[in-house]
Amino acid sequence: MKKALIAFGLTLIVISGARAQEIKIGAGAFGGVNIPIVQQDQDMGTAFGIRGRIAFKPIIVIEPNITFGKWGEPGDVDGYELGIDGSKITSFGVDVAVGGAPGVPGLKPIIFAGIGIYSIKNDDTDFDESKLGFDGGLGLMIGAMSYLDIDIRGTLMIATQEEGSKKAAIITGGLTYYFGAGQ
Amino acid sequence: MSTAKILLVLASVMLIAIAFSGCKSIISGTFVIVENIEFTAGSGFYFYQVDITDEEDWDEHKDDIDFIDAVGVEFYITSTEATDVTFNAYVDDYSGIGPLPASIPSTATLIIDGLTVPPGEIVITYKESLSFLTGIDRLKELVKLGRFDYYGTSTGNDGNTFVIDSGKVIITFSAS
Repeated sequence: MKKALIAFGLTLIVISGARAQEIKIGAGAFGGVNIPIVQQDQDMGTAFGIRGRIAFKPIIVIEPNITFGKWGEPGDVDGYELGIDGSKITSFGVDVAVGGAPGVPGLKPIIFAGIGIYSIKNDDTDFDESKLGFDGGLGLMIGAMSYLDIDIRGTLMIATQEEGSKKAAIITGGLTYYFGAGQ
Repeated sequence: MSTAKILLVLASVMLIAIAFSGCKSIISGTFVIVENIEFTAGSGFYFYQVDITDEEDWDEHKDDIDFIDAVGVEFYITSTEATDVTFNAYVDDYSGIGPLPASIPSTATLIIDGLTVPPGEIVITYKESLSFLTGIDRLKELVKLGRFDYYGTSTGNDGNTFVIDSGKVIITFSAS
């Protein structure tokens, strides 16, 4: 995990230093709620993470991201309290976003889709699966300053399993800082 | 590249991804069944046939069970024995309707191995059971079939001194 985070950070630093003039680079953090879909053994939880933004074209942005989530303790099932914790979700992914151009002030709609490795783990049930997954969604970015965006996003996450999948709707708010912008 | 083309590419990527993972990824869900167990108890021997095939969620998805996420049990026990009781449990293929068995078949799989139960009223929770159940792979195989035989044994019980007041088996499964 630490290696992945360090690699993620170093990549952003190297790219931002080397090519800041040609492409716009940003990095930010986000957090919000994580709502399981058709999962009786989970309840609403949290999600937070970090995201890079690399704009090769004004409206095409590559977004490497790392997300840490936790679903909540499930409610009762037919009047029975399971009494176990919700699962933890960790994902390493890359999205392709259209819209939300870096450095542009004002309201900027964004649509995105991507892939990632999703790990779902539950310490109580010993459930532990890591597989390829997919995500996609819509959002609205607000260009507060030339170097700062505020965003609100809704994401559908599909973490495939041996067969079938675990799904969730993730609603987040976040901030992105653009290196070298406004200087 | 125009915006329309970019959107088309994005949509195509998502569709290819969905096709790659299969439609089951989209329509699958995770369900929990809580089944009551009512033991036929002799002196230190318990038997019950677990049957979840008539449960609504199971019946709806029985042909599309992807995998069993978790299986656990809950017991409310009253022991008036003077000392600790050792409790074991086994599972085996569903044997169908027939005479009550008097012993544990050699084909049965041990799932509770020497659980020590002190005198008094004891609750073994679902969460606790997840930490000590053994033979999980076999148990999940049997659960996936929807029906199986459950056997229990306890030491030092004359039929009234170690009573399982109520029991449940809790099954979590993923299906399309």
